[in-house]
Amino acid sequence: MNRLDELLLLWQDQTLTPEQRAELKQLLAEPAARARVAEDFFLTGVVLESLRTQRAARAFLTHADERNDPERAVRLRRSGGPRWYRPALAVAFLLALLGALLWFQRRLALPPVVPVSADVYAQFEQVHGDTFVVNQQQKSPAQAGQVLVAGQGIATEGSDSEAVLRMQDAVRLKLGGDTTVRTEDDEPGAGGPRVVLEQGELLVEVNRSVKRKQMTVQTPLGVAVTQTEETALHISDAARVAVVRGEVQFHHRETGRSIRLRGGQYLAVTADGELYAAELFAANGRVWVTYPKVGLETTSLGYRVTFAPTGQRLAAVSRSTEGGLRIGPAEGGDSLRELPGERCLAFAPDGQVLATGQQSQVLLHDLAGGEPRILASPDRRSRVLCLAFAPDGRSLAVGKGRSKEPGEVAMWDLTTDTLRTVFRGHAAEVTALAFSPDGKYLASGGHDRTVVLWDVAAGQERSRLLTVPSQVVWSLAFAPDGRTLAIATGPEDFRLRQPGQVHLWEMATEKVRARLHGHTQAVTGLAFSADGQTLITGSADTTVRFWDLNSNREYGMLKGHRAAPGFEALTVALAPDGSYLATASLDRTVKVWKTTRVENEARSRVTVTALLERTRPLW
Amino acid sequence: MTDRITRLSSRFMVERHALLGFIYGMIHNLAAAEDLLQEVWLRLAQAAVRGEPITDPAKWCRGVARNLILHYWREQRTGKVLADSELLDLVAQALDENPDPWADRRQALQECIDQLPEASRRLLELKYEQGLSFAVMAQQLRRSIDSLKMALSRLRRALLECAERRLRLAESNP
Repeated sequence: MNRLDELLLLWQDQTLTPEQRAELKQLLAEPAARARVAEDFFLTGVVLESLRTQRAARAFLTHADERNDPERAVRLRRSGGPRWYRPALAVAFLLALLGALLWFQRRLALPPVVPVSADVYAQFEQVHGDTFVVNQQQKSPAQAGQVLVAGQGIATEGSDSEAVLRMQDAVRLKLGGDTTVRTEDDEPGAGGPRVVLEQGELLVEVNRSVKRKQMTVQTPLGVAVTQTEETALHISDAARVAVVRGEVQFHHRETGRSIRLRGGQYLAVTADGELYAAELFAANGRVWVTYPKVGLETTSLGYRVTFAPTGQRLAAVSRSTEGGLRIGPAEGGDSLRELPGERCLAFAPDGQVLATGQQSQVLLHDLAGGEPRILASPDRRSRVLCLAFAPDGRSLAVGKGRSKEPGEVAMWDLTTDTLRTVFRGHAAEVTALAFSPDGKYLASGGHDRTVVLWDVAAGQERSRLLTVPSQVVWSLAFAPDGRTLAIATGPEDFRLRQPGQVHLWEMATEKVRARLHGHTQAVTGLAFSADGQTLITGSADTTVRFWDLNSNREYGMLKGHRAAPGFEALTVALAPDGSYLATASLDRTVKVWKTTRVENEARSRVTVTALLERTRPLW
Repeated sequence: MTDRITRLSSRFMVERHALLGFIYGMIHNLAAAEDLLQEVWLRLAQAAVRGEPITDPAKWCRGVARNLILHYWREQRTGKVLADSELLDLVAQALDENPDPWADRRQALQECIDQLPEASRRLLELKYEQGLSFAVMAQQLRRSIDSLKMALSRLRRALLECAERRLRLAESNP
């Protein structure tokens, strides 16, 4: 170690004497020493950033739960203590286990399927809701402190149920709702237990090596094997396999392919089965508004959100009339206004008028003040389900419909507030609308699993697309250059665990040029970045995903909304300058996230930065 | 205007590591350093909105950070932090004089950090994330202060060399 390095270390340690300080200054008179110092500070910055990223990734899984429902938050603390009493603890623990085992056997009068000498492999630390020990075909309620022996499984029933177990002293399992887990011995020679997740959501936390052996978790998709001593991985339908810390090797069951994932990464799979790693964005969003609790059915978008064209204002609307419409600064605060409205909303291109639905009518709120203008349709039976302003601001397209009846798109002339024409051609409700940027075309989609492209000037249908696989169209968005129409689809009932998709439809060829696979449930929201290189999607699988449209692959995921009981719809909006992302979810919250565009030579990407994660009330 | 803000924020995101290292190096408190970094970011965004001419954003940010550090020192007054404005200026000068091919080096360094063995990672965590002194670390890890200093110094050197190797490898295998 040279003298400069030594002094820099002492400085880092805050133990520089005045003499050493003077010596350091003297050394820094030399350009070479200053170059070395610059390098040293840069290195420190990268190390800090790396540590901070890992810390954020560690918090990733628990943040959402904790923020939304602190009482239910389950903290997984690392076990351990001073070394001298560990043997004593181990003996006490084993005795306690033995005692508990005997006690439970007597108290619950369990049939002697499992001999007392069978291997104890886990103990319940916490149990919430309906959690059961599964013993072959028998189920018995689980309690905190209860031990499990080989051959027994665990099942949580109901979306609010969860359980935390300690396996040996170094592995913890946290089971989410509706989850079934069992263990089995690994192959001879490999050693160690193999945890088998049959369905649901599981967090596995390994705090040090289990007798220096790897931990194997079998999932419906394949097998994950921990590679590092301190490892945490999260397996769920939504994110498949996400590594919170440490490293994991994942082997895909069907394709036989494998991939190594690091902390902060999750497994992504292309349509043809190629595995790749994408990034978990571990940022926090600010809750912009929380809607009051009302019953919402599971076959409609609960809440929608949109930015004003200037990006300064944000507006959100609830599916229910009781929720109403809220508008206010994107950065939040107490100055949100409440206006009447429901289901849908759209800002006029000049940002001065906000259109929303109210049963069969459209309300046009002038944001300067005054009573709203009303566009009253002669057809009072159909509800207003979606809205889109023409880019010139002179026309408003209104998607309407009623269950099990044909849907329609009404075109209103806003210079006279009269109904100009009605486009008919949908066999069911129209749920999504988008104007091409030049205003020539209007795309409409709906429950009839069809997208229709209308020539606005001619008042005619130009082309039509039936979604394959046949799914409801939940959202539509044109790329800023107008060449591509993104179509978000998914099953009609959000509770169905069928993957949703995004179809990228090329206007020139009128063909789907790509399908974006990744979401595990319906895709319900779409937003293009201004440069057209990134597409952001929200889904009923509770995630927001970021897609690179050069490669048509997902590169990032955000998971900051709580899973509603078994379903969730997420709509997304990106501020015109790309600086904020807003998400609205069936968990009744609208959140705002800080985003950043990261550019290099090859591409430009929107990322959600954790830069504002821990600081002042900007939001 | 929007483009300008976006351009500046992109630059900031790419160059923030050196700035974070600079701030942390001066105040030795990660949470406070992140707050100051945040403040610099906000001021940069505000300056961009006001249309202030900023030709060298990295240098501009360091200038703002320097003032914030001086303010932080004044506020602390605990004597626990080594406050020396002369050293502060010398380091700022060092960083001004040595602009770096940030993105490539950061990426390479990040990969090297990701591959560190657990013990080395732990050392970095204790020192930088938890901000422990060598004396406290020595107690916790049951090692001598000198061996810890040597280990950390070697680790930092090894990381820089690893990054260099990776960059050279990337250059020879584009």
